[in-house]
Order: sequence, then structure tokens, then C-alpha cells
Amino acid sequence: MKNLDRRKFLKSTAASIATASLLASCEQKPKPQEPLTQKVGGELDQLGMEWDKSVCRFCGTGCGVLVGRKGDKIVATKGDPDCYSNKGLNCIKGYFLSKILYGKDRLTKPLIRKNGKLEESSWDEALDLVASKYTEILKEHGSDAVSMFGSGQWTIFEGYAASKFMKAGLGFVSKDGVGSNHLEPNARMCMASAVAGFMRTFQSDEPMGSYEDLEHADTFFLWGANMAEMHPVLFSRIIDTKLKNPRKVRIVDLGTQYTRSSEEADLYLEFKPQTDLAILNYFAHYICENELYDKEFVEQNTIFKKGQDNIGYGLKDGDGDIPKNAGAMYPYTFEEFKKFVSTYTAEYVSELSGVPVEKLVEAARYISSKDRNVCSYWTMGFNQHTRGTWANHLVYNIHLLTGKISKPGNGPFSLTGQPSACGTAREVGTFAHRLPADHVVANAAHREMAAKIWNIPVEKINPKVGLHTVEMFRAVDNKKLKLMWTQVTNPFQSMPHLNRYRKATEDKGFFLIVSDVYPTRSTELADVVFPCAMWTEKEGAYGNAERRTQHWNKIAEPPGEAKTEIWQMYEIAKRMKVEGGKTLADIIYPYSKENYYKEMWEEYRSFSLGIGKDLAPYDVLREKHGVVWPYVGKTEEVNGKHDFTDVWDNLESPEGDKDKGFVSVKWRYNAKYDPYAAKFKKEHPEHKGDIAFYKAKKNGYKATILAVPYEPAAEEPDNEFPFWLCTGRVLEHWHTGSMTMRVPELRRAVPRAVVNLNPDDAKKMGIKRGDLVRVSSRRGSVVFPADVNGRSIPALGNVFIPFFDETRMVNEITLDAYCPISKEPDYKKCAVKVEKA
Amino acid sequence: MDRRNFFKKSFAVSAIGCASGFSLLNFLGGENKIYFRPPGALSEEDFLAACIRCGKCIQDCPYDTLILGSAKDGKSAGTPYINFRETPCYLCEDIPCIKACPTDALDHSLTDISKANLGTAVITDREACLSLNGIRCEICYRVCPLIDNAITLNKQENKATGKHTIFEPVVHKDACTGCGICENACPLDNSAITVIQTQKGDKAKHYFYLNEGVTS
Amino acid sequence: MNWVKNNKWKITRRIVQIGVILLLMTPIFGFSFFKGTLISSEIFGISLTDPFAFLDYTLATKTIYLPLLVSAILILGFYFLVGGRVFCSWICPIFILTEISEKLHDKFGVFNYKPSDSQKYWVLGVLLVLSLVTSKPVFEWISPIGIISQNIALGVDFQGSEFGSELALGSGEDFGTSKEFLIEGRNETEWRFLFNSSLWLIFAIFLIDVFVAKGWWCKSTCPVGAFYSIVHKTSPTKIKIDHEVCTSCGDCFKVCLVSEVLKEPVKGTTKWVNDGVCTNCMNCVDACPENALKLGLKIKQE
Repeated sequence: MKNLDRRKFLKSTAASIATASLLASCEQKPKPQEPLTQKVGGELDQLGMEWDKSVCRFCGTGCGVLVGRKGDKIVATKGDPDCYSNKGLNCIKGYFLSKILYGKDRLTKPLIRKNGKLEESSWDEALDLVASKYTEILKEHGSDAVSMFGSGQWTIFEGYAASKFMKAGLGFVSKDGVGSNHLEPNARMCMASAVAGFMRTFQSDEPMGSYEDLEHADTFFLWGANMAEMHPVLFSRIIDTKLKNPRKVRIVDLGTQYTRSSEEADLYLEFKPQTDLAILNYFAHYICENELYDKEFVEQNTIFKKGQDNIGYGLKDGDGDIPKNAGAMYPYTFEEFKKFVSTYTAEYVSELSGVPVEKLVEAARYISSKDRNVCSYWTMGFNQHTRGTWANHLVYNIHLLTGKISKPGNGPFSLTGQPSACGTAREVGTFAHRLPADHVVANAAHREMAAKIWNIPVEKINPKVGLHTVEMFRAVDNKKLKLMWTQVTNPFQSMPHLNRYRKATEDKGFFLIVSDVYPTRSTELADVVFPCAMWTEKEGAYGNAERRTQHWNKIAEPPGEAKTEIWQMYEIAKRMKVEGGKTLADIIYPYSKENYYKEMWEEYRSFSLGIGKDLAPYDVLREKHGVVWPYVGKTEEVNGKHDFTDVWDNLESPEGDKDKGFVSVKWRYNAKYDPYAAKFKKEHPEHKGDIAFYKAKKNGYKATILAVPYEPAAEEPDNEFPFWLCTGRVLEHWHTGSMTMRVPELRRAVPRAVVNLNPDDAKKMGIKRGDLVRVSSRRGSVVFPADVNGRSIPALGNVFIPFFDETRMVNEITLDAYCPISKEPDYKKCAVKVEKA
Repeated sequence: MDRRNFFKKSFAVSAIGCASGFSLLNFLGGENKIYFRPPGALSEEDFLAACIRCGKCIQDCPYDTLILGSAKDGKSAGTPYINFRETPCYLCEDIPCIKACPTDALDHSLTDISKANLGTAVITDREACLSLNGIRCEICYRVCPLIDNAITLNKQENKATGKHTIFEPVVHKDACTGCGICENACPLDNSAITVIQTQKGDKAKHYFYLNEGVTS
Repeated sequence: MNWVKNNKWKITRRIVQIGVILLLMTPIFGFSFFKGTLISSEIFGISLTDPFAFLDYTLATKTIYLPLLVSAILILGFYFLVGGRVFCSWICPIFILTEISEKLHDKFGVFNYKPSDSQKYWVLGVLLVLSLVTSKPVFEWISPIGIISQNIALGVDFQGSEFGSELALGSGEDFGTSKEFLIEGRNETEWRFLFNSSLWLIFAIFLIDVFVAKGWWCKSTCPVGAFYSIVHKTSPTKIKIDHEVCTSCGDCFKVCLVSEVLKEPVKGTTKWVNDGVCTNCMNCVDACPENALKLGLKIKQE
């Protein structure tokens, strides 16, 4: 007996020593002891704090911040004046950034569900349990039974490690010998439609322009984007542009509710939900009818196609009601296109959308005018749309027809909601169908390339596209998934049709692991909870909406036993034995202790080189306050594929290191700025104009103009449920509020979610400000206090409810219909009834 | 025996002295501060005369906004008042506090709550105000129940970056009810926007503005 | 059983006294048929006001507010019918304290000061003049009746605590778990109330009652009591003594809270307890072994 105990003791000691050494290997433990060198100047340097650069933890704007440390705690932040994205400004969330770290209820110990209750445990116990669950399920059911749900708030490193864990690693353990593609970021719910739109139009993801457009443009179209609240620092730039040139600059806001952006807009088009498709087609019709298109540009750079129509809504499990060819695009001609859009006359669209003809015409005139620089900005109004991919296509159509694209002050720009939706979800490709840098699992050559970089047999990468987000959660309900690991996200508050998916987790055969920093509505359902280090408690990098990658060092110590997600994945992999006496960690995380993050970055970076998605080297990222990609090296030695010496001298690179042999491309596809486009022009002397969509090789280097019709929404109001429900955010709170609701000041400013009603609707129903109102749909009902005539005034027959409030979750009533092409759910439209509670 | 009696007496006297001393000090001393009254309240002098300290308005306030003055509030003991920083007035459309008032201390002719005049919000600390420092805060503006009427945003260039706008919240006295929601919501430790008591600013009779009296 | 029989009025009165306190608290428990305090209240939509408060208001504002007058007349009429100082012994919570303090005074009293009978009328007069002069309803300002009933109905000194702001927008709802999130909530439940509370005044009165003078406040000082004494004098509802049955045993004196009022009737000079200070508490009715004392209606002058 005694002997056994002693053996146990020795074993656990050995384990803890091993753990400690690992910790050193991937946590870069000594960092906080290193002095931080960022200078902030003036009296701030006298305050006894050390400063380093970082980036705001919240939205996709990617505001740079300087972080002040005292001891091992973050005690102050400051807008980073050297960051091009925000020039030293923050919104009120950014102002309270440091406070999100120190909420009273930070998770500091792993939790394991025992007898129905979450109890504190040791890391070893929790990790052993999770690793054994993984192994057991993989051995018994294969890699199709496990999934991971991540985030656009993952750091790039975390996303990349997760991608390797799922796509490269699990194949070594599972019985079927292939990895799992059931890896999704919550970014699926945020900008998948934009991704689909960019990929199908330009064959390369992410916007071509940059935030500089905000100064160069004079006409701003806001589509389903309340920029004034959701991208406050960017909106502040739009208004500044207007202040500087009030006679020229016009802001056109299109939406279903009067927001703070509408208040600042010159023209506000309030349309019936879903009819944005018709309005966009009308604009195309207006351009064609009045021959306002750029003939040369259209001929040179675009190709016309017709999209498959009648593509379903994803309401049946297993993509049941979606035709196989939903994403098909058929050959079309310009003449046919003109004829197609000609049915969308001003009168017809006005009737459909409820927007007066004169307003439609005025907006069409702004967007098509030859002497205007037009930028379109959109977020969730377009993306969270059962025809989200189409909506994205339709806005590119307009910019492509008029040639207002890829030029300073011109272009379609999809804003992102999460700090690294671009950097992690899109660039790393943490989607069910993607690999890093625009590569996809279904493409054999891409798999080959990934296997080579990852140094694994190509068969280990699963060629079958995994389950997209909604299907993933439905698979839990259908008992097809046995295990899910969620990281940095709170899906059991943010998924649509929440009741179904929350209930699904009650199944005994389903194992849920949640990595988070605070108790949330997701951790309460978990079987195991891992406490995490957040933001500057770990090294990381985010990629914002203008393709800017911003790196930060580990600055503070995480509280208690909280650990990074990277460490957690490493530890799980370490506990999975593979052939040859190795562990999975040896295969997928072969990085050295000293340069763990650097080696990981450089490995990841090699995916992006030479294909117009070139990321900056690790050392440059550490030094610079954000670097926009493509960060293209001059010679073949640097970028791996091309020699740009012959076009180098004519390139403009406003913030690049041209003299150091690199340019940061601010406007992609534009030969003035983008070495790839310049090179393309040189190689194709017959190509006219500066713009070259060099990535669209399949279409003969032409961007697609797609003819798609207006189709109704998945669920429209009827007699029983007469209102449209739209959900979203408010400036003060971010997403599910797990961070901002822990900042007392923000919580006091907006303590709870309210339902915004149109004053006339409220009057009809006898609802006053502050009354409790029951909002019900076919899926559930929730009570909210009413707000009438407040900051958001929905159109007649619409209601708006933000989703940050965990005590009353609007997603219990939303509908899980999604875009059949991008698979992004539509949070903006479902039918509800509203009554006094 | 005498000694015992003496102690008993002194105990009784000092106990009574303490209790009445506390009350007297409180009632007669009181706090020297401005009391913000419920909607429709008469001017402070008239209000103190007309309020019979029954506490019904406080009972009927659905948000627990109204605080009942206790002895420490001196001559306002027993009367209702508001501490905006704790709970502001949420401007109920049916104004239950006025309905509850048995006297005319709260003006029963006030039926449109947006005409209430508890005071006027003012940015009292321009140096501390986040919005004026270029931070996209403007919480006071967005929480204002009379948004775009009582508080609007005055936009000016942010010279520090040359690229951004300073959105300055500007309060309009004619529309502002003084409900204090802005003061309550201000994220600073000490609110930069506070409600002050104001008088009606009558237009002078000896001068007429450019836009007055123009007939064409 | 015998005890109950011998104390039926006392038991009824205690039930009413407690009932009043519970009634004052009904809004806290979410009932809506009653609201307000003993100064002014509303029951089933009918507004009621203490007539003395009406006097104070009228003198302070120098105006007559008609709805207030109507609500005061309702109360005045009621007490005229049931006997003015019924308010004191049956309704007013301060009176409970007086009853306790009387018992304690017998044990702990160190002084035995006897205020004059007319003191309360002087106080009444002075307060009304003060109201007129200062333009403040002076007695409502410091009224122990108001203070105690406000404290019962509202919990004065806990007002404006941390819960207030949580209720902002949407009343009375449960805020759920999120409350625990607050790093540093504005926890302003002030313990200062210990020193600032109006209840000190009540305590001071209580101590004077105990140590200095038996029933000092209720019997000899309270202007509302004085006011209702005047009402009582004119009221038809009074205690009646049957001289034929009375044995002059003196039991009624032992239980009477204002025993001097019984002097004349027991002596036999009058059938009615005419003194306005009588509170119709019915203690004597319970106590009389011969059932010589009853509540009667004095309709014509005898």
C-alpha cells in the first residue's frame, strides 16, 4: 500500500515537472520579467509603469493601444498614436479595456462536472479526462464525432494551433486515420457571407481597400451597418471627412431602423427587411439604363454570370432544403444582365421595399455618379442574411460596373465585427472547408501543400468539408457529434434558435469542453471548463478588417491557474500517444521552447507567401504597430515565388518599408500599390487600366458580376407573428457581454437589453417606455423592457433587440435559417409577436 | 441609595440627551445641498410649504427613484428628492408620482412628462468629459430619452489626429427635462454631466434678434 | 377562555393596531388596494388625509386645495363618528410605544414629571402659528406619526440603496445571476442611517416616556392627539357608565391609559366620559367586573 502511494507520488511529481517545463516552452514565462521598452513620453514615463503595444480586444476596427503595466498587472491603457488604424483614439469600450481582465469572477481553476455540478479540479485531472475522452471517442467513432468551435477572437496563433490540432493532428489518433474538419469559428455567424462573396467574385478573400478610403472617399454607403455605434472610431473618420468637405461628402444609410448612423446621414433609406437585394439590383439597373458603367473597365476586368436561384433557407437538418447546385454560377452576358436587372425598376423596387422612388433615384445617382468616390461599408445587415452571399455579390456588381474599386476612396469594404475575424478565421482558415491563406481542404493540391508545410502524410488531412456552424450544433442535437471544444466564444448565448441547441447539450453521450475566462451561459453547460489567459496575459496577434496584423507580447500574468488555449491544446496533444512512441504534440507542435511563437508564425506565414496574401515576418510584427498584408518582399528569395525588381520603383507604399525591401499593399489589385498587379500588367501588356484581378485565374483574371434576383426571407411576418425581429449590438457592450458587462461603468450605462419599438407601433399596442414586453416567436418567448423613441427606432412593424444580455437571451427566439452558400445564419429577420407582459 | 439614584438619573438624562441631540442636530442642521424634486414640483419654497410629507409619491415610483428625506436632510426631512447618480427619473409617461400627490406640491396639470422640468443637464467638467477628449463615448447622448432633442452632438474636427471627429454632447435647455439619466450613466467616477437647477431664461425685451420680426 | 372573554376589546384593539401596521406595509408585498401613510393615504382609490395635516398645509400655503379638503373631511367625519382619539389608541403606531413605555416607566422611571393638561393645546396652537409664520407645515416636518408610518411603509433610511438602479427600466423584475458580476457595485446601503435616522426622534420620545413622564408624548404633547381631543369632545361616541351597577371598585382606573377622565363619571356627576382625552380604548369596558361601562351614543345633551 505504502509503496503504491510512493509510486503515485513520484509519478505525479514527474508529471508536474513535465508540466512546468512545458509551461516554460509555450508560455514564454520570463516575458513579464523582461522590461517593456515602449516609450509613451512626457509625464507618463514618470508614473512608474512599463508600456508595451497591443490591440483592442473588442471589435474588428483593430484600434492599437498602449498597455501600461505595474508589477504583473495591467493598470492602464492608452490609444496608440502610432497605429494607423486608429491614430490613438478609442471608443468607450476601449477606454475600459484594462478593466475586462479583472472581473471579480475570473475563472482561475479548471472545473469538472461531477454529479451534475461543476467542481474545481487540478489541471492534470481535467487534462487527463479530456485527453482520454478524445482518444476514446476518436478510437470508437472516428474523427467525424469530434468538433471544435472557435472564434474570431482567437489570436492568430491559437487559430492556427487549433487548425493543426483538428485538421492535421486528429488523424493520427482516430480510427479512420484522417483529421476532422469539424472546426468552425464563430466568425461563421459574422462574416462568412463576405468571405463567400469575396471568394466567388475575386477568388481571394478580404477587402481590397483600407481605412485610408475613409479620407479619400466622398460618398459613403452604409448597408445594414450602424457604424456610429459598432465601428465608432471609423465612423468618427467618416464624419471628419464630411466636416472637411461638407458640400461634397454624402453619407447614405440604408437600413431597417433609424440608428445613430442614420441621424448623421444625409440620406436615409428605410426598407423592408430582405428587400436590400431588390434595391441593389435597382442600382445596377440604374447604372445600366443610364449607361453610367465604366465600359472599358467592365470589358477588361469583369465577367458576367447568372446565379442559381431558389436556393432554400437551411431550415432542414443536413442542408435538407438546399439544392446541391445552390452555389452554381452559369455563363451570362452583359446584355442578358442588363435585361435581368431591368425588371428592377424604381417603381417596382419602391413598392417592394417601401422606399420612395425619389430617394431610390437620389441614392442611385450618388452611387453611380462619375465624379464621386464611392465606398460601401457593410456588416451584419448584409452578412447575416439568408441571401448574404448574394447581397455581397450585388454590392460588388455595382462597384465593378462603375469601376469604383481598388482605388483610393473607392471600393466595397466589408467591416468585421470581431478583432481577428480576418486574421484568425479567414486568413488562418479555421472554417470547416478551409486551410490557411485561401486554401481549401477539398483541393488536392492545397492539401498536398499543407501536408508538406505541416510535415505530415497528406492522407491525414480530411478532404471532406466538415460541418458548418449551424449543422455542427444540429449534429449535437442529432447525436452525431460526441464531443465539442469551444474556445473564446459563448455559443450557448449567441447561436440562433438557442433553446434547441442548449437542450441538445443535456445528452449524456455528449461531452462539452469550454475554454473561457469568465462563467458564461456556455460554461454552465460544460462538462469541463478550462480557465484561460486573456488578451495581454498571453502573446498574440489579431488581424483587423483592413488586413492589418497586430502583434502583442505577453504583458501581464494570468490570474490563478488560468492558462493559454495554446497550452491547453498542447497539453491535450501531449496526452495523445501516436505510433513510434511519440505524442501528438511532437508532431503538430514541433516548436522550440525559446522561439515557440516565432516558429509557429513563420510556419504559418509560409502558406501565404507568393500568392498575394503575404504576411509580415514575426520580427517585423513585433516591432511595428500593425502591418497590413500583403506585405510583399521585393525578391524571390524573400517572397518565395516572384521577383518584383522590375516594377518596384513605381510602387507607392504609404506605410511600407519600401527601402527595406517590403511594401505594405494598401489597395490590392491596383498596379500602383500592389506589386502582384504591377507584375501582372507587365506580363500582360494588353491589359488596360491599373486594376488587375490577378487572383481570379479561373475566370481569366476577371471579377464576377453575378445576376441574382430578390427572394423573400425564410420567415416573414404573418397574422400570428406580425413583427420583424432584428438583433444586434450596442456601442457600450460587446457581443454576449461576458467582458463588458463586468465593467461596472459600462454596465451602468446600459444595464440590460431592451426591445426597441417604433413609437407608432408602441402607441397602437399601448406600450410605454419601460413597460415589460413579451416578444415571442415560434421558437420561444422572452420578456424585455420596452424602449420607444430611443437610440434606435425600428421601421414600422420591426423590433430590435441587442443580444448582450445573458439574463434575457434574444437568441431563444431567433431563427436558425442561413445563407445556403455561406452557411451564415440570419439573425436579422424572423417573425415575432409583441405583447405587454 | 442616593448614589444609585444619581447614576440612574444621569443615565436617563444622557440617554435622552443623546437621542434628542441626534434628532435636533439632524433636523435643525440638515445638509446644505440642492434637492432635486419629482416632476411637476413647485419651486423649492412653495414645495416645502405644500408637501405634507406623506411619502405616497415615493411609494408609487416604479423605479425607486424618489428618496424620502430623513432627519439628516434638515428641512427636507420627509420630502421626496432624487439623487441622479443613484437612480435618475425614468420619465414614466403616466407620471405616477404626480398622481399620488394629495396636495398640489406636484403640479397635477403636468400630464406630458417630456415637459417636466427637474433641472437642466450641463457638462460641468469639460476637461474630464471623454467625448470632448475624442473618445467615442457619448453615452449621455445615447441614453437620453429625448435623444436628438434634449442632447445633440456638435461635431468638430479632432485636431490631435486630424482624421477624427469630436462628438460634443450639447444639452438644449428647452427640451431637457433634467431627468438625470445622463448624469447617472456617465462612466466617469464623478459624472462630467450633471443636472443643475435653472430658471426660465426669458428673452430680453430691449433687443430683437436678426430672425425676429422679419416680414417679406 | 375566560381571559379572552375578559379581554375581547383589548384583543380586538391589538388586532386592529397590528392590522394598521400590516396595512401600511401592503404595498411592499405587492398589493395595490392601499397606499400611503397615516398623513395621507389612498384606499380603493379614495384619498384620505389627516385633517391636522390639512390645517398645516392650509396655513403654510395660505390656500385651500379642494381635493385635500375633501379627503380631510372624510377622515374628520370618520373620527367624529367613532370618537376622535380612537385614532390614538386604535390606529397610531406611536401609541403602541406609549403603552409599552407606561409599563416600563413604572419600573424604570427616574423622574415623575406631570405636564399640565393644557400643554398639548399650547403645542397645537404654537405649531399652527409656526406653520402660518414660517410657511412650512411644521408639524408634518417632525411628526413622529409621519416618521413611524413612513418607516413602516417605505423603510426611509434604506431608500436609494444599490437596488434602486438595478430596477431602472422595467420594474420589479428579478435581475438574475448577473448581479454578482459587479466588480465594485455602488454599494451605498449607508450605515450612516444609524446616526441620521429620523427614528432618533421616536426613540427620544420613548425614553422621555420611560424615564421622565408617563405618557408624556401621547397624553400631554402630541398636537394630533390634542386635535382629536377636540374632535372627541364633540363626538357622540363615548363611554357610558351605568351608575346603578357600578360598585366603584376602581378596576377601570387601573387599566385606563388616561385615568383622570374616569374621575367625574365614576364619582357620579355624569353618565358619560366627556373628557376629550379619552381614547375609546375600551380597556375599562373589558375590566369592569360588573359590566357597568359600555360604549354608547350620546345624541342629546344630558
